[in-house]
Amino acid sequence: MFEEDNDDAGGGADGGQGKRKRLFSKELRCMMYGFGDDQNPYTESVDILEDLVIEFITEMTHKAMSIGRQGRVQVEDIVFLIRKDPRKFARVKDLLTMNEELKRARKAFDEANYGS
Amino acid sequence: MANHSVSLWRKTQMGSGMEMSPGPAALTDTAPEDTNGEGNGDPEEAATEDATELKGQEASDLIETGREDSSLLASAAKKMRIETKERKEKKHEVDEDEIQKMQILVSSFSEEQLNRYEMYRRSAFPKAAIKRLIQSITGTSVSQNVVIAMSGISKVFVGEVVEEALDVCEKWGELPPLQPKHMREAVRRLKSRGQIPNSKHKKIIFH
Repeated sequence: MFEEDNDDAGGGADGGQGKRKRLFSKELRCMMYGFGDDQNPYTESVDILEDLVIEFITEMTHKAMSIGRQGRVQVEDIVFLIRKDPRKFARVKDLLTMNEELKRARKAFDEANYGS
Repeated sequence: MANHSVSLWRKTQMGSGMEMSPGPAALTDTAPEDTNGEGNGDPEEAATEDATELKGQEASDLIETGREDSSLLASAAKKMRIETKERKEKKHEVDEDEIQKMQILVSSFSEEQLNRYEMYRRSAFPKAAIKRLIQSITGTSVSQNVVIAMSGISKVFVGEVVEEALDVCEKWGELPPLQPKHMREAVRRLKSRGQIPNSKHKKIIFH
């Protein structure tokens, strides 16, 4: 019943996002399943989520551009914007820490191999 | 060579998982705890740890300047330093406990649960698409860290919406798959809690 309406290209009936191509359909489906939805989520729900994510990223980007160094998006700005949300804040901190550790490990490995 | 491929595997885990090394650490991912809103434990803990470390430093400074009650200050500083060390060890033990508990939990998963857990850890937004999206908004280039951060919080955001939608679905006595009406109600609830950024609404403070 829900799938029939999906024939119009780009699914423009939902959220008024026009004919923008779907960027994250595959990944979002996996994510929804991982977070508790059915193994085959409804396409309309996936589309709604994609629009939400794009809107979220757009808002965050605009906000980050308006603080700190104007017109640029820097990590410090994102961390600042997210400071009141404990989950997101912890997640960003962890990801950045992990990235640093990985970079250090990779660098050490490369130096060990090429003796620089 | 083997190391290189392992490190590549780790890199692909970056988007969703937290594995630093295979084995115990692989299951330390705090994401499950994050979904309980316990993520705030970490920044607060880190803050108190820094505070106690600072106090230890100040105490040792005091010792160097004031020599009269040096013995009193020395014992106080020593106690503080021991407490800080114990706290760090306790956190290590807590991590070890967490790791073990996670391992026990995951080992008792059914196949369906294992599938879902794997999807939960592995799913991630494609970095290229996110980078393209951000750059199309800013007009300038952004660093890799920004893309990593933005992908990470977007995934947390998706998790919040899906969990709220599942709550709505259950409350209305319906079953998954989630329908658009659940998603919309979930968004409405999150908005009222201020968890969805919206800079388009003009706030009227006094009226």
